[in-house]
Amino acid sequence: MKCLALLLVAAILPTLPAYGGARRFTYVYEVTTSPPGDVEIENWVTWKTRKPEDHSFRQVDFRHELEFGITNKLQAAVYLADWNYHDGTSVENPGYSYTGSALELIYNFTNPVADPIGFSVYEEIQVGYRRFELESKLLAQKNFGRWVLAYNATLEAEWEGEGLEERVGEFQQSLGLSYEVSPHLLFGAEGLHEIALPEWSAAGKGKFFAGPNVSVRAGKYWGTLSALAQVTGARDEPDLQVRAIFGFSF
Amino acid sequence: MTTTRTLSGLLAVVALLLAGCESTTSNAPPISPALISAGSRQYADARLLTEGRSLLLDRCIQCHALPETAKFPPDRLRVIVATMAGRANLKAGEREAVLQYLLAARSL
Repeated sequence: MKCLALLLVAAILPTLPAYGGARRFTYVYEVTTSPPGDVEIENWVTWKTRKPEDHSFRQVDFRHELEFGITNKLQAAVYLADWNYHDGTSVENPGYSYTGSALELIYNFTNPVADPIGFSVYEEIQVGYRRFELESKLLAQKNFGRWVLAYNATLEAEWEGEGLEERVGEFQQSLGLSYEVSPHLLFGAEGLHEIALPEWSAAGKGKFFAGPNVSVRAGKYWGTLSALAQVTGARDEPDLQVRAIFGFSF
Repeated sequence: MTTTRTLSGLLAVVALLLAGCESTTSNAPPISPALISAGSRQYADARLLTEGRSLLLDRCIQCHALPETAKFPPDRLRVIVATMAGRANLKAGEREAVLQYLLAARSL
């Protein structure tokens, strides 16, 4: 029965046109931007579980995003709401909480096929309750036929507290490799490396996560799923985080 | 700390290797005298071909790798471009530019 269902899916998928703006990765951004006039909704779900210091820890993050293609090189997005549910003995206030809403801009400079390397810059401004965050990324990508290799360098600056007096920084690197089996099915892997910069003073210990991903596209819909395991043994970080992004183009 | 340095170094090396890679444009040949000559046989000028290549590289790779255009007969290419134009938000003139570029490229 399962084989029959798989065969059916395999037979139907190639008859549907591929969808533009779909993501190959969930933690790594690609340099390409949505076509002008394109409007898309993306819903993110990230499940984090089991910290070495707290085996009961679990957190689910949600993001609801509207993405717009402005020009051939410029894309804008609005994060309508970032919110989460968190629980565990290490969590101060278990339950639901709203993180913030954000505006994101991506500008593409060079092409990952025609140029030696594709580059884009990314800027995000997020505002929440007693919270303000700026996130800047340098995106790099190279396409080798059906293979895509992408790299992001990210610097996050966050101000928190009643008078936004608490300052937190973080430097992140992420790397992804993806192979296009068909325009409707892609497999790959991605890794995430984080270094916390509390109060912008001494850097914290580096944390590294890595795992596989899969992306499926059909018609106006697409979905991408990644599962990252913690490679380092940071006691305050989840051992496993799974992220799924579902997109739909209007 | 050693692990962090090793991983950071590894990522930096990969980034440098990326920067040194040659471009892979075999499925989207640059605008050359030969391509312009091929285009002129179908009444497409250099400006139209340049626009078509640019759109192909900007829009089509968002969804899929560039196909080997030589594999497709002209009629099949017309159908493919017409089908994909909606997904890539191509206007009528842009669709024509992509099609003319692909037809010229396949005849090289």
